Amino acid sequence: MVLSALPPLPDADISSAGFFAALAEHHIELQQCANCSVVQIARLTCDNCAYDAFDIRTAAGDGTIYSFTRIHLVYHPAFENSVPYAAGIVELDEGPRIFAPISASEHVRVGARVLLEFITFGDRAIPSFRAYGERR
Amino acid sequence: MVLDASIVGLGKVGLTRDATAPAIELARRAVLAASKDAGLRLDAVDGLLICRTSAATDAVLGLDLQRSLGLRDLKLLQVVLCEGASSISAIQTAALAVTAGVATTVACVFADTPVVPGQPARSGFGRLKTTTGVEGLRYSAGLFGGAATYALSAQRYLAQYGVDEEYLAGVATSTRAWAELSPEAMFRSPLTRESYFAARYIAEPLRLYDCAIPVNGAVAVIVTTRSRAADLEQPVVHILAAAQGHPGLPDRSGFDRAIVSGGQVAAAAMYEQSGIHAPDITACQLYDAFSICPLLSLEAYGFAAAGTAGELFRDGSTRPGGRLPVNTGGGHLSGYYLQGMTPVAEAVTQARGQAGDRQVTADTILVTNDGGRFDYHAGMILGTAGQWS
Repeated sequence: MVLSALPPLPDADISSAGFFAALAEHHIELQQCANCSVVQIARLTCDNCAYDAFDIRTAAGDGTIYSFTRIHLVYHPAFENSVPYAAGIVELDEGPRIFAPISASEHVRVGARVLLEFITFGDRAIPSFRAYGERR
Repeated sequence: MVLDASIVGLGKVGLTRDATAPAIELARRAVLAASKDAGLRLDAVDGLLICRTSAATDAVLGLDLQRSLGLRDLKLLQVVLCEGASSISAIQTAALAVTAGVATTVACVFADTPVVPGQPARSGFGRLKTTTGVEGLRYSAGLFGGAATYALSAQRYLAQYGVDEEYLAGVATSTRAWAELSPEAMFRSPLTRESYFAARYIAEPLRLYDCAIPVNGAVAVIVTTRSRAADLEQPVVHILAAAQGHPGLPDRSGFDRAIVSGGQVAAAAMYEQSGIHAPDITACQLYDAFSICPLLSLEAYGFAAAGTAGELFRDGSTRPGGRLPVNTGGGHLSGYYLQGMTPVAEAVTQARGQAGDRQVTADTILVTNDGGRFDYHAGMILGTAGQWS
């Protein structure tokens, strides 16, 4: 997707500073709970056991489309030349889910496998995924 | 606990796509109309609960409403912020307050003015520059507005249960069939399956008729105790049960945040409180900002197994003449979108027996509200008769 203007980009909050710093370096930072091993994103405490220490990992970049939509209306000038465009929720193989644009529209379906890419805006970047087919 | 609470007043203002007064003024007029409807002097109101759309601020509609109304010495005053679940959450709070004696007569009001003639409702998103945190990545991905996130829920639902867009079409056309009978509904012309599918997509799989119709307006209700209700103007409408449910599911493997409604939590609480269960309920007024919502609600409240609620819309059960009437005023989809007060207003009108051509057996009515990405839910059961108390 080639955007015609800068889309809204998130500012880091107290739980996501590390996540967004890693994103700018083209990595998705994962946090693995040091107590129960559940992998999650941008947490101060574990959403499973409330423990507050994590091992930092990097997502391999493989995932599955949990859900998607194609947006047919222009809500923001950044997307005025892109409609309809696909975006959705990708479940990383490590477990966490993330909102992202999805390319290769012909393969986009729930359960389709995707590969991580990035879209850069100056010194910022957001995750994006390319669909390539069915769940293996 | 048994609630000692009844809805005795209903006020509606606006319900139009034309320009109106600001939200706080619509709210003021709606509270006045509700107290008049109840046969109460405004100064009998000693509690005020104010609901607004999540994008609005105190400057649009806030605690100043007390002074606008000239209400003195209130014993309960709050802005209730629970996204689409605010209206029933407020009414639940009012019911608990009058039951406990914290206040005697509580007005609950929602007002919104999203429609600016000549300007698309979505144009506000164009000014969005920054967002916050990981959740903000939805906007970077181009997922603006409720249609986008409810589309993700709808798409997941269809895939999970192996059903198709006919399920959504069933909701939209059933709701329109009721709107044809409802003088206040915005869209009253018949909607066939063919015209549903001919309409453009907004956010796949949601088409035009899967999305609610924003209007400018306000709805207020007045809640008081049962004994006070008996002396007032209107047929009594008791609040037989009320509960909230907020799943708080993580967004990761093993959880289905997109299609788990808090209705499951609320249903269990309400059925236990009241002894009423799904087979006892004669009509449903379900939050339907998008057509996916009533499907999840009917399943959460035990009217259908997971992934099968669409059959109730398809086989006519939910339509005029059906055995389980749903959204008899046209809902948010074909009626008017006042975020959670729409199903409340229709439930009160039905329970009073004032629904005219669309009147159904309405002695035990389920009313629901949903907000967030199905993150926030509130429900209540309204009833007319003493059989439950």
